[in-house]
Amino acid sequence: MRRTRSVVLTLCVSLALAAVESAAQTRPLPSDSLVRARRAAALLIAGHADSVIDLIPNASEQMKQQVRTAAETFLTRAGTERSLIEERWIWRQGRRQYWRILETTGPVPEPVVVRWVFNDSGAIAGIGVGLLSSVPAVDSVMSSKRP
Amino acid sequence: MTRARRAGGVALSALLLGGTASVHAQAPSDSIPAGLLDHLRAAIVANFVVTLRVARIAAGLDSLRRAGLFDREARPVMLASALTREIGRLMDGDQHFRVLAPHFAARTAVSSTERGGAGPALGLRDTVRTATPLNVASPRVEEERRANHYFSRVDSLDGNVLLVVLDGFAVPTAEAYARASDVMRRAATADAIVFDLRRNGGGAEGLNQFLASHLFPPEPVLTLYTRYVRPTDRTTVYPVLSQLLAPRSVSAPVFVVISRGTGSAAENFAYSLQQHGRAVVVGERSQGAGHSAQRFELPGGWAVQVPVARVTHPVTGTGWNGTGVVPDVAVPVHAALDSAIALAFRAARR
Repeated sequence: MRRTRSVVLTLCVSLALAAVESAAQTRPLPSDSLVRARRAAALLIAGHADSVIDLIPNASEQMKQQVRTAAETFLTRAGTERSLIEERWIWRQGRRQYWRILETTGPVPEPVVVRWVFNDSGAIAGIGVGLLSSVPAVDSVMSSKRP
Repeated sequence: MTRARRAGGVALSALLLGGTASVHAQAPSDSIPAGLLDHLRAAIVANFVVTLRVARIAAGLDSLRRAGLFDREARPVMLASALTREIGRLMDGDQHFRVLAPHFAARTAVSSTERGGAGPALGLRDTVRTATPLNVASPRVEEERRANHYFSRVDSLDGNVLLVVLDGFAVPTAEAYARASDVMRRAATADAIVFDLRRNGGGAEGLNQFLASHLFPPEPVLTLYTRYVRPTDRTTVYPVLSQLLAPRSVSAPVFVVISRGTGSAAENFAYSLQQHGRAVVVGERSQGAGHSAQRFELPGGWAVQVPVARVTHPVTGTGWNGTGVVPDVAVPVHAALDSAIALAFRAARR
């Protein structure tokens, strides 16, 4: 009897968590999210790290440093944007990310991805810059758009 | 990086991001040639330096084919990145492996003498005792020339400390050797030297040995590292070079700053100096890219860069592949350069 109750309780908790997760996943991002993501990517690629930081509410010192390093790395290793290959919205670890997949002017051997992680409130909460082959695995691709 | 280039970057970005970006990177080829995977498999099986892994990689490739990777990734640049990622995993994350779609293969095309870490320009002789400039012209060489052969900053700091920020190892042309010699001429009069390699992901073989040679006496002949190359089944010794264009700096304290962005030839430079007790390494553990790659052309303008060689240091009997170079002074990347300069300043005063 006790075991049955435990199983039922576990099931209820699981369903509740799934419902919360589902609600979070279906909650839309603010309508200007794409514009902000593109704007942040443009500023980053142009090397304006401080302007990117201004777009990130309550950015921690670590986050600020990550943005500065990413901007510098992009400029020195990737150059600048030559052409847009694809834009994606993806889910990873319960959060939405905007991916800008680019061909760049620098001597890199494959496309470069600029990634912005959005939190549940729709604010930019993380950054990633790297070669396409090095991006982490995603939970799912929500949408993708080619120019 | 020049201000002009920065400004150019802003203008280009504004143009492309204004909603009218329409240039498609796949323009050179939108098709995937028949038999590509077979050629790729053959190049890996015949040349990958870790022979114990070859059977597993071949089986993994077959699984990828059965899983329909080609069907899911129809665009060449996307497929190339997917193959790089998936096969790279089978190679334990070897960072020298790369599949190049035609567009990127053409952009990074080099003459045969530039291909690979131990290409024919170095002759695969048993011992490379003299620097041999490569007489080549390619978009890559031109890009590196414009980037000042990756010497991004060379500054004399307080205390007669010379700071050298080197963001890559350029193809060792005569011009690149001359630029490196200019830098080492300044190093010869410095009381301490700091090499900042935090953004240096590596590059071509040659300048690493050349720069390191300035920091040791010519005699007795010291081996900096050895390299085993699987396609030729030969081991080449890379000692301190006997003849240089600039004076040597054999006693000034040397500090090398590294990070997770430091890879390949840059790790070789740091590791060689560290293990010979010639430099103190400061910063964060590096990438662990200890193999050298050679490029093989594939049908349809595709190419693959296969790790064909492994580097071994005479002191440790091993290298840094997979483990990275472990700093003597562990400091977070953003504070590492300041720490190294402070250490150099103190060392210079002694």
